[in-house]
Amino acid sequence: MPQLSKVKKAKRGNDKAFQELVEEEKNKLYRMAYLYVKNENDAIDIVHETIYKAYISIKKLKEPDYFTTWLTKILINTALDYIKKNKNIIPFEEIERYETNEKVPIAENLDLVDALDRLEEKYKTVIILRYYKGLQIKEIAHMLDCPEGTVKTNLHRAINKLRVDLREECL
Amino acid sequence: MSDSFKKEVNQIKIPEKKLDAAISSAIHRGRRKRWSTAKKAGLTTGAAAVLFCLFIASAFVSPTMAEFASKLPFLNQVFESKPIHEVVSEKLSEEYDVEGIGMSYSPKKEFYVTVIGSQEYYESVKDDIKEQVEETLASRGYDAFKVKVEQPRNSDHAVDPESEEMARKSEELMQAVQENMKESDYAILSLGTSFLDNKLAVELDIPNTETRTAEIEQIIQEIANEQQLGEVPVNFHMIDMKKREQEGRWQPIISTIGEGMMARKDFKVKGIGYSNHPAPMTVFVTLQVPVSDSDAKELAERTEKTVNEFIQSEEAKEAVKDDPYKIVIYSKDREILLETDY
Repeated sequence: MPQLSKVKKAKRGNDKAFQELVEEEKNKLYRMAYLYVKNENDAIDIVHETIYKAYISIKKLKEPDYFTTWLTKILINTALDYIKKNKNIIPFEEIERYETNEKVPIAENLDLVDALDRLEEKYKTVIILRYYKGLQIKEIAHMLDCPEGTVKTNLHRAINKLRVDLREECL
Repeated sequence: MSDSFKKEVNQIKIPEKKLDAAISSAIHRGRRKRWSTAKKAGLTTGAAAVLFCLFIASAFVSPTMAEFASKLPFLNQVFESKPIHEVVSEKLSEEYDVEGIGMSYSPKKEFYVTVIGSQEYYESVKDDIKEQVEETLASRGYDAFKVKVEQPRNSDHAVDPESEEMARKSEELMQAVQENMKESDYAILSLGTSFLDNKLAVELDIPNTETRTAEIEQIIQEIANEQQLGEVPVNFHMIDMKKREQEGRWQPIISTIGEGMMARKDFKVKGIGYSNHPAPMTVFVTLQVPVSDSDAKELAERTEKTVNEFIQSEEAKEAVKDDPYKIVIYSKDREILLETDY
């Protein structure tokens, strides 16, 4: 497996291998970060922080097979920290947007993504992992260090909320 | 749901240039961090290696150093180093406005630092000071003290006119007595006054070889009469000069035992004392365990050994000379656990 050998190289401190690995993941990382913060600059910041953390701690990665999972976990934690830290800050652009009531289109037709934004962080996380990353319940539970039951419950609740939300919008 | 969600998410536009720049700057930052950690580790090992080489070299050269390397008992290490309060005080005064420091052994083992200045200044430095003192203590293996950083207490308590009057009177009397005694050949070690029930008295330390107490008393009374102080009793404290000399010699030994034994939790020591009345010089150690504790006996033996090893060591020789001495170990409830004459 080419990826596995690259991870091993990167672990030994090979920068080129690390860069190549990140290259493969960067778009997914950015999009996940974007789903949490809904703006370009913050998402970029989160990716930056994630790559930095990954770079300085890749030596400690125990199972090279799980590089992608490991990186995702770092991103999620970084994003959650970032949100917690900036909870009380409303950026200027945002204030303006509230005032003018003008919607900034991020892409066409992103109803689901918009609806996701209204979910609590823990629901967002399970939705992203399950439907964007396509992980199994078991893998999600492992990544978030919580029982599978909790993941299932959160997933169900998240889906229900999304449904209600989207239906209202249709009306 | 999975597919449409994925599709939607994949429509999120990627600001490619920004993203690439963020990634390369992250790696750059990481490289710097890695390098600095590696450099630090390298420097430390380097320094340690140099020290180690020096150490080995000096161990070959000097027999004293070799002894040090073999094993220097804890109390001897304490004896060789500066008293801890001096070390801390010097360190703190370099950086902070510190009024004073204090160390107390009882009821709790505490280390105080008093900071002068505004409330804001106090707030801004108290944590740093605490940390630094804790580090200094830890570097010596002292773990029993709780560090407290405080502001000075308001000490402007009112002085009542009566005691002010007394203080003035005693000051005058002392001066006159001192003047007078200078001209005489009486051996007087120290001179002071005391108040008891608002009555002034003179306290004199004299060597027990001085026999002319009656004469001295008379002279003082005359001076007191001149100053219209009425009858002033004179209390003589007869000092055994040999014992005083011995006390002076033992002082650093006792304070070393005190600092060393009290500063470490594992020694479980509550108090240290000494006395050379009656002879011989006796060192008392009170442990933190009651006599009923099953380990009390063993701990007492260990404590006794530590103290005795130090007293008999080469370094303490100069102070101890060939004095006979005694070590008494008490339990928390003042039962004698161990008593040994040397």
